[in-house]
Amino acid sequence: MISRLEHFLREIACGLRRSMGSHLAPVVLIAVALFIMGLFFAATRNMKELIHLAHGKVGITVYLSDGATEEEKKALSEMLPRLGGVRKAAYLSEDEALRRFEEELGTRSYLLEGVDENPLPASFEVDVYDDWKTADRMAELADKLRAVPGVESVVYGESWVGRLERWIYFVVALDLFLGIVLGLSTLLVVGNTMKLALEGRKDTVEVLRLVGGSRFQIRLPFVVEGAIIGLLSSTLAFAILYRTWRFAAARLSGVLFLDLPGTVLFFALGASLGGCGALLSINRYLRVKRG
Amino acid sequence: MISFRNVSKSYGQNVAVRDLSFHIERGEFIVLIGASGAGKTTVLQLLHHEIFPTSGVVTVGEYSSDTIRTSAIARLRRKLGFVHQDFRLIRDRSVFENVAIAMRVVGTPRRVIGKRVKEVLAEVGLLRRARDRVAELSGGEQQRVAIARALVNRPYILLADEPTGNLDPDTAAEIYALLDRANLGGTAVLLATHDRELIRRSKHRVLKLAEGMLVPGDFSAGAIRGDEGVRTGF
Ligand SMILES: Nc1ncnc2c1ncn2[C@@H]1O[C@H](COP(=O)(O)OP(=O)(O)OP(=O)(O)O)[C@@H](O)[C@H]1O
Ligand SMILES: [Mg+2]
Repeated sequence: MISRLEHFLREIACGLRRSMGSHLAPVVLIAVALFIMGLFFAATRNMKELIHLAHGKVGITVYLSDGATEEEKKALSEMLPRLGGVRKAAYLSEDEALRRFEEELGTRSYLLEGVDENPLPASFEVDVYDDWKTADRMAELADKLRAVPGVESVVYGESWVGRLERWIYFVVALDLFLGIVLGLSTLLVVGNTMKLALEGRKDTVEVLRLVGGSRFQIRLPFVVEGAIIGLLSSTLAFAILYRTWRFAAARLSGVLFLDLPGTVLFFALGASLGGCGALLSINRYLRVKRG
Repeated sequence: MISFRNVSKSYGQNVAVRDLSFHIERGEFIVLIGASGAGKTTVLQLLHHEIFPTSGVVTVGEYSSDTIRTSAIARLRRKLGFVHQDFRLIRDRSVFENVAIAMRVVGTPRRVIGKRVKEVLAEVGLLRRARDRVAELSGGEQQRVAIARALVNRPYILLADEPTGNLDPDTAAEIYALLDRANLGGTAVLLATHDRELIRRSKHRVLKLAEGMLVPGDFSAGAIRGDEGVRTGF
């Protein structure tokens, strides 16, 4: 067992020694591919954040009729949180509505002079979960609320929500499409690059086959070597990505970098792409031969 | 120990080996001769299970080409030694490493490896070069490394495919002497060659291939010199 482990370590070390020398190219090449992948990751994250921000502005306002009784208000305030999709509902009395309106008017609050009776109705401001912020579900929710006694009208910006929804669909689809295209082309680059690395190790592979190395013994060192190359590449790509982000963030506030899970995913992606690329290229090489 | 039973191997229309049957006994030394393209390499590859018969069965010890599982091929190869004309060494590693790799693959303990590798290197006269990189060795020395690697696990049989093809006559004779010595130690040897000089001096059983078929008759040196006449069969 120890000796077998030693076999692997030795093979990996030998492979890497060569990689360091004549195979610096794979690391750089894969790093470029990963860098583009990383840009895409960061863009996706920023886009998600934008969607989140846009969603934050989507909410339902339930205006109460002037004649709404206290019982009706109470019933509504108890019913709202139990309604599917509602995250929370806040009551806004006539007076509070007026005060807020004055605040919004700011210096132009003189407009309200001469209005001696508060024209604003009381309302509930309903906050909805993000996944309920689709045109269909919002309309359904609004219809439900319109039927409740004491409710005058329900407003949620129908056209807005519909447009936002279409936009999100488009962006998510584009993101997915780009992700797949990028992922596949990165795998292709890595596969081809590892083929070059394999070229320099063919003699070892041939010798291992000759002396009866198992499938595992022949492949593992190469796969680990690929994973390490991938990891080095992601480190390089990450460093460049970070610099790029610093550059962008200095000019454009609010641009986000990869978050922690994204970062972990990025390195894991580098390692597994390297390993898979190596496995693909060695399998293609060995496929013609049995054993 | 080793047998070919009605073995044929074709590549499309091209038939490399045709209905071949023979046995090799434990400890035997067999010289395989025949013109270029006669099928010598194909026979060795079949034995090594690098290729599989189109029909017929190749048996090596407990392994048979018709039933062997892919995972067992590696185990079988650990019991065979194979020497190629082009050596097949890892040029940028040391002589020691090149021999030791065959034992590491089997999982031999480190101390045993150290001892045994030195032993075989001494047998092929390369103990003093153990630390040198293979690339620094002459052709004859490289072939001796390959032989040491083939012998290090004490194989059933040593397969040699024109091991002297790239070497000058004197060096070839040295290599041949090494194969003889391994055979005296109990290892069966199957040597494919068209080195006439070598065949002329050999006292071993000779099989002759022509167009993938065994040519009936005795082609051993003695027989060819005419003092025993031509015997048929084996
Ligand atoms: N992979 C292959 N694909 C197609 N034909 C092949 C293949 N390998 C061998 N052959 C054919 O099989 C026949 C026997 O080849 P083989 O290599 O066994 O001959 P050989 O006796 O070793 O010749 P040489 O002395 O030149 O090495 C030849 O006609 C050859 O062209
Ligand atoms: Mg040949």
